Amino acid sequence: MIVQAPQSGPGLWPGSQITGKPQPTGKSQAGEPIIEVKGLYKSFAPKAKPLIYAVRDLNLAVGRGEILGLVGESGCGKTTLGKLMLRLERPTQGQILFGGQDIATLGFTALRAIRHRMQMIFQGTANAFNPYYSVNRIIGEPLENYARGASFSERTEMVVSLLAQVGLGPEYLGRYPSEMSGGQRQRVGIARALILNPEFVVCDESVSSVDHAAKDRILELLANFRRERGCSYLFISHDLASVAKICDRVAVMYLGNLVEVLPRPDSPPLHPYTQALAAAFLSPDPRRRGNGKALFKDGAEIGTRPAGCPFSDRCLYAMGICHKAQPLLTDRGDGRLAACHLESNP
Amino acid sequence: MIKVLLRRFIRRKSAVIGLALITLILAAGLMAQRLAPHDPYAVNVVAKLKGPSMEYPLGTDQLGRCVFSRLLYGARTCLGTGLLVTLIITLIGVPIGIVAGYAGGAFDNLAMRAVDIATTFPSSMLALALVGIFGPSLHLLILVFIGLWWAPFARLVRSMVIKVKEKEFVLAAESGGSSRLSIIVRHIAPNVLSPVIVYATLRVAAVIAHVAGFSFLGLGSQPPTADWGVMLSDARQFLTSAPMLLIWPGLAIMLSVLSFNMFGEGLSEALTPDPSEMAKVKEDTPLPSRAMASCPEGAKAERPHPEGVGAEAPLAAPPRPPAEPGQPAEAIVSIRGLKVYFKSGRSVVKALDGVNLDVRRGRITAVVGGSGSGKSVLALSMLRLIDPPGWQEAGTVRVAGRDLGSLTEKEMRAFRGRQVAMIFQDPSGSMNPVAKVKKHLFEAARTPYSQRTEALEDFKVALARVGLNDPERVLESYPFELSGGMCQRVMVAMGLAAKADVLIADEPTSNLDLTTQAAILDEFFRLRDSGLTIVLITHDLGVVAQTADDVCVIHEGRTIESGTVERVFLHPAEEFTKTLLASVGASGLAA
Ligand SMILES: Nc1ncnc2c1ncn2[C@@H]1O[C@H](COP(=O)(O)OP(=O)(O)OP(=O)(O)O)[C@@H](O)[C@H]1O
Ligand code: SF4
Ligand SMILES: [Mg+2]
Repeated sequence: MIVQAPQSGPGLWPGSQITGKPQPTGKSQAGEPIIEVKGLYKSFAPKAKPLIYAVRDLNLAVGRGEILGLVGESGCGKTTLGKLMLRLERPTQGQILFGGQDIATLGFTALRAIRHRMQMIFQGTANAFNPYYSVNRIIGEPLENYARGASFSERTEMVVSLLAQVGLGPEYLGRYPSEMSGGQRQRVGIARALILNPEFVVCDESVSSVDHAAKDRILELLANFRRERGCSYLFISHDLASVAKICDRVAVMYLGNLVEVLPRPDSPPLHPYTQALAAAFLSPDPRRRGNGKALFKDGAEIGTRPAGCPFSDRCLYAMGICHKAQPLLTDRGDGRLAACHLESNP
Repeated sequence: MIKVLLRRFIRRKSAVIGLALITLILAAGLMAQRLAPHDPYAVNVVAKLKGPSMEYPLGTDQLGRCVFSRLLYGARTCLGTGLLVTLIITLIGVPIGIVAGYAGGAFDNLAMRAVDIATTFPSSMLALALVGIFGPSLHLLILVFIGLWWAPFARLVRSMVIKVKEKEFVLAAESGGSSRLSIIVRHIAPNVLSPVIVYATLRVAAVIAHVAGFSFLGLGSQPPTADWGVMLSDARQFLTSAPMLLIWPGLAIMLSVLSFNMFGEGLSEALTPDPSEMAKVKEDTPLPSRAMASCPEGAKAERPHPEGVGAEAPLAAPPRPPAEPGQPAEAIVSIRGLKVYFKSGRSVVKALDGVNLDVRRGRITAVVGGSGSGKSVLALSMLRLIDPPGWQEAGTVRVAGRDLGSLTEKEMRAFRGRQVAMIFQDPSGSMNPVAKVKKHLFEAARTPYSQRTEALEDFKVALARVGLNDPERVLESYPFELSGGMCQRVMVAMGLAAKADVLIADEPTSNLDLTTQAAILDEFFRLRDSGLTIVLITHDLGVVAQTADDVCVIHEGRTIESGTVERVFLHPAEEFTKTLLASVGASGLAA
């Protein structure tokens, strides 16, 4: 193992450089990122000492037409990052550049002027819809706000045609959230987010808790929309199979930090945490029992974020320096970024 | 929606009686002019203190006034005051509460300071003091009640709003470009409405009781007003000669207070969905269309379970062989021919249509199936938590030898949690949003008050085991302060805290990343090895293959096949199982 000193200088991450490069997959149109965050911090308890950050010094960009996967431990701040990008939360510090404009400190009214360009498909189904709203009103509400010229019947028509695209017939218009299955609600949520033709969509666990067939349909749907309308996604999921199917690049978060960016979903992971994540995948073959290995240490000290590398208390490869200095995210060539003191794949 | 509420309301007898009584009293007051045989103030000294007669249905009082007529007019004063005061405190308290809760900041601070001040004055003391200064008057009383009672109302509404505004649909409305006003009026207000209505109803009863009390003491309405309190007060002197004079107004007060209370309680029960109901509208609520399509009156439906799962000889060495070789482990849960139907509009949805399941003691049994196949309904059946519009059409569910159908509701309550505990799917929907995590755990573990401090230590360990690295903070958090995955882990910890014999886990890891999933499944292994029986409901075949000992595949409400995991996954007998297994893709992130 070769220890690499934290790098500085040209190899350092500014997100736009990466998306500026031609994408290895060729899928993304490259160029200007649609959205980019710089030095982003978010703390939910601004008075707590020491400060606990749900998102910490995060730099990331999503290219136009790109699908960026975001994976990581639950509670590591994925949803918070998505909400921050859409300014559904206010960052504690940092910049959020949407189409070149810094929206980090905009107020409610100023944000309304750009809300239709960015949308979110929410995680969790029980609270995602107003229980007193029918499907027609749920999907039609954003139209009411932005397509003011349209009459009620015109809006309903738009809702019906979008419903058809997500695979639901017009008979669903009058349904209430409690009268639909998880998979159907998931699709209504997608329709609500897509009705305004947004340029950027955050999909938060859009395929968890649906079975394989429904999952494939949803992924296909999202891919179709991108092809037809050229929108970009931040695709948050813990389902690595879905991430592999749909994403161009994959970002990995751990305890509020970005620890690795894979240029392609099938690039071999370099960071020990990403490796642990990939190794924990469970094979549906009972003969391969135990193939979901735990590539991390158990019983880390509870309640504290370790000094140095955030993963150092669970990492199998932790060295002296790992407990002292937090590794910076550095370019490892081929569009890959990793924040680890290890030079190469352990 | 409305229909469901109505049905739930009607099922509560006391609520319906309360509503009927309120209507009756209200009608009496409104039509007093027509119904009353006499002017309530008409004195007839000749006929004083008479018993009931044709002319005076309830007799006369000490001045010969018609008691019946006075009662009718009294309904006006009492109910009128009650409704008026309640209306005004609603109009003041609700908007203040909503704005304070939604906007927060300086307005919130100011409003809550005012609420604190108003709630520290005991209303009776203040009323007594003011009456002492300004002399007795009903108007003064009304002012005092309004001045003080808007405050708890505002506080209640504020706490409800804070809870609702964290829900995703409010964020979705914001993201959809709705204005603040529209978010408040269309999304927040309707969702805090039910407690507002309930609270208001109960307040009416409180006002009636208070006003009557003060009038009785001579501090509110003054004689000769037709007011129940005044009538009561007048009647005191004739306690021995005409006791009925005391009884009638007393009865009237009692009935109206009681009716509003009964109505309010009934409403509150109808409006608060219980977790079983929440769980039912989840993932596995099948759709009419799908279930209809699924019921080609096939002969297969009624096919009896070919063999008890226990009779299955393990092909490969299973991770946990039956207790004694050749002797199948005892089935702790045994389900035969279970059918559960739901009424949906005019059609009937066959959520379960012939399920057979054996869960062997000390093993992990997985129930797999696509979304809408009836997995969650099956789980609820094991706790007898199927409520209207659903019902059990046929079949038996036996747990530890006892037929659940034969237990009373009281026995069932003791049974749930103690023998069978459940981890509900969708944690955000089944956790009480205004209770901290530690409270959920206390309830799940049924910790007596005296042992709460020690129990906290156990909980910290349990939370750490399910991979929550900051148990102290989590214990003190409200569910909305945790991420979706963290809530799910809290649910698992609750299931563990219950220390039941059988743990049913409905999609316990579907919101979790893989490393956390691995930690929780490890915990399941540990529990199984210490003797716990686990029913694992999931659509993730990887989880099943890697953790379960036995598996039961269900599709469209029917058992397709069951057996040990090795048998079913490696040598599936049914076409459906084969397709299911073929549909699974492998992970793209190369390890
Ligand atoms: N409203 C809030 N108040 C306080 N803390 C919060 C709030 N929302 C999130 N947090 C905290 O911020 C951290 C990150 O949460 P976030 O919801 O972003 O996680 P996540 O990565 O999306 O997890 P999951 O995969 O489980 O959904 C968590 O520790 C969580 O407890
Ligand atoms: S502890 Fe060291 S080796 Fe492990 S991830 Fe962190 S920096 Fe890399
Ligand atoms: Mg999340």
